[in-house]
Amino acid sequence: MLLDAIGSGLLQLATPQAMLFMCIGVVYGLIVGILPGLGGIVAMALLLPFTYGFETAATLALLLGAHIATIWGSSVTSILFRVPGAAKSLALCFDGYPMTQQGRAKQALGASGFAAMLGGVIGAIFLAISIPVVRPIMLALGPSEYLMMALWGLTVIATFSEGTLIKGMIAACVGVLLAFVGMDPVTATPRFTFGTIYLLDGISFPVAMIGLFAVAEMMKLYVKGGKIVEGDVSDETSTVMEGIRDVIRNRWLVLRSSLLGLWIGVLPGIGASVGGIAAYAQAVQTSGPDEQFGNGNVKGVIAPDATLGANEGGGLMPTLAFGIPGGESMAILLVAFINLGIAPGPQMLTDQLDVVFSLIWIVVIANVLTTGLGLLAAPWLAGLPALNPKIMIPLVLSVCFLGAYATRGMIEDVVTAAGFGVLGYVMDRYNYSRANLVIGMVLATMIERNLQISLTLYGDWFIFTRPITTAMFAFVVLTICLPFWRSWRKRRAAEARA
Amino acid sequence: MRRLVQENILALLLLALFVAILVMSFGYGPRARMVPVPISVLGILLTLAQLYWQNTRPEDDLHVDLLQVLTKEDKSRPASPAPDVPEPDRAEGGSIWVALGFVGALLALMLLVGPFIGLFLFITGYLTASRYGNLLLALGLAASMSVALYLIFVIGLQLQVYHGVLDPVVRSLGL
Repeated sequence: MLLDAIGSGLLQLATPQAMLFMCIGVVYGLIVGILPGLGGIVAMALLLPFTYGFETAATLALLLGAHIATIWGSSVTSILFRVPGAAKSLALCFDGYPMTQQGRAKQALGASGFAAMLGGVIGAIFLAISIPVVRPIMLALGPSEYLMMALWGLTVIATFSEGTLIKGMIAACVGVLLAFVGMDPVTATPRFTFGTIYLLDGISFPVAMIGLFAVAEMMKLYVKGGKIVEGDVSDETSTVMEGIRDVIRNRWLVLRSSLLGLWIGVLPGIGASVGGIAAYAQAVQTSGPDEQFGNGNVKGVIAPDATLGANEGGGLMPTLAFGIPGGESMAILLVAFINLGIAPGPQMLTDQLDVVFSLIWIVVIANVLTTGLGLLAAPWLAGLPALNPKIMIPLVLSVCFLGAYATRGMIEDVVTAAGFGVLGYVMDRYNYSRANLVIGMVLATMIERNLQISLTLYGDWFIFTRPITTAMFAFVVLTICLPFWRSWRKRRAAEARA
Repeated sequence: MRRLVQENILALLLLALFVAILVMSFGYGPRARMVPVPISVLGILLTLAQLYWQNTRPEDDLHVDLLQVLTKEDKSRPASPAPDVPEPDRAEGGSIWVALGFVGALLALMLLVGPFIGLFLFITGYLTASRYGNLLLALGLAASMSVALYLIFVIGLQLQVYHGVLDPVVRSLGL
């Protein structure tokens, strides 16, 4: 039955309309993904009105193909401009951007695209294999476990804030508090809105990112002078093929990261934002003692991209099996399902397995298409950071402010982006981690929501009354202690050498 | 202004922010303040620790963190490398106040006349002021960029255009 469904799923896609729609979706997604502030959910939401009246496979190919392509598009801006196109691509700024600064942008883009493709394919394959196994595990997790997942995401900050630990944690606290601006979803209390209607909806996350990274980077570029790429671009010796070879050399890292992305995608509501950071952290933790991260280590690009690629396949599982979106883009897909007359639920994994495998095949093919097109464009894209800053600054600023406005169609968001731009410049200048602020913003609502539900359902001592939660809490504590332990080891090693 | 003074001012501003949030949080119900209050308190403690740290260490150690002291690392060892921010090339770099100025200018233009006219005027003005080619080149580049963005955002992505605060004034003049 499984093999029949796999074959049937592929056959449904083997129509000219389905393949054409997928190609259109991929090209559209790449363009939208590169635009700051826009990402998968915007791309899919805008396509939704155009999907009525077409065959099911073609519609799904268009939507999911566009979404897959935006993931790599947002990786491109993270690597080339240090502007995460979406929250999930934040981790690519840590090592991808330094690679661009070192004149290795082609290598970074090659590694990024190929890792994302492999991650997507591996994720899809393992998803297909693990369908019978995943369901009982998903049913065993509750809000207290999701709370621990979110807390672990925050404590990962401690892992790569080593050396500026206090400032990093301060930035994370600011980020968490910024996320609470707006209407509290639990108590319907307006918090920190100062009586304004605009702030009732809270601070838009893409707008904050545009300001923190794009606007701040353009200000920094102006003050610093010179170009983003420190070396002469004509001396660029890296190639796309180097990046591809790096991925093949680090195949076990790709596999680990892909499985991590798959499982994070399977857990509903977590989203890829945690996955990218978690993948980066596991690359750091599993690296050799002499390896440095944050200075252009290609592993810091490979791990997050493989995770992001696999995450989409994983996100299909809760969406199809329970009607619970695995992420915001899956929510759009859910709407499309209903419009197409497909009812998500347990029967998807039994009676409509062919639809499930159609989607899995779309993930695989769209990843290959996206990587193919992206790698063809990579040598040209790699030249963008070397543009004269006199051209780059006004153009990038204009696109970013327009992107901020386009996020919600509110002109006040442009003011917010400008404010965050100033904040981002100040944070960068005085070594307060912007990445930690963003992580705090992403995880804050998840922490609060799951904490409230856990206290209501399980009582005040839920951390110790639920075994899985207790184990995860112990892991969180271990992660906090990791930087201290690593420093103690380094001190011991230095004393031994002396 | 010395770096240490700047760092202290920033830390004090952060401290004031956390205190303000803590005070505001007590105006909300118990459930609404359940997470903001402990996070604010944590922020206050961390900021006080940072203030203590950066004022009791020599200025050139500002990038070394409490972590090293807690684990009793050898102070004679080089500090953790600071982020690799190159020194501004005074011949090429600009003033932060000018950078703030052009961000403010673009913001003001977008608010007054709308995003697309605003960015057209901004790009033209910036390229002209920075002497990137002549006025004609600046106008051409600005126009191309504006048209391309209009096609992408308005035609392609169906964005509703904001016409700016001055739109009623412009309409009343019959323009």
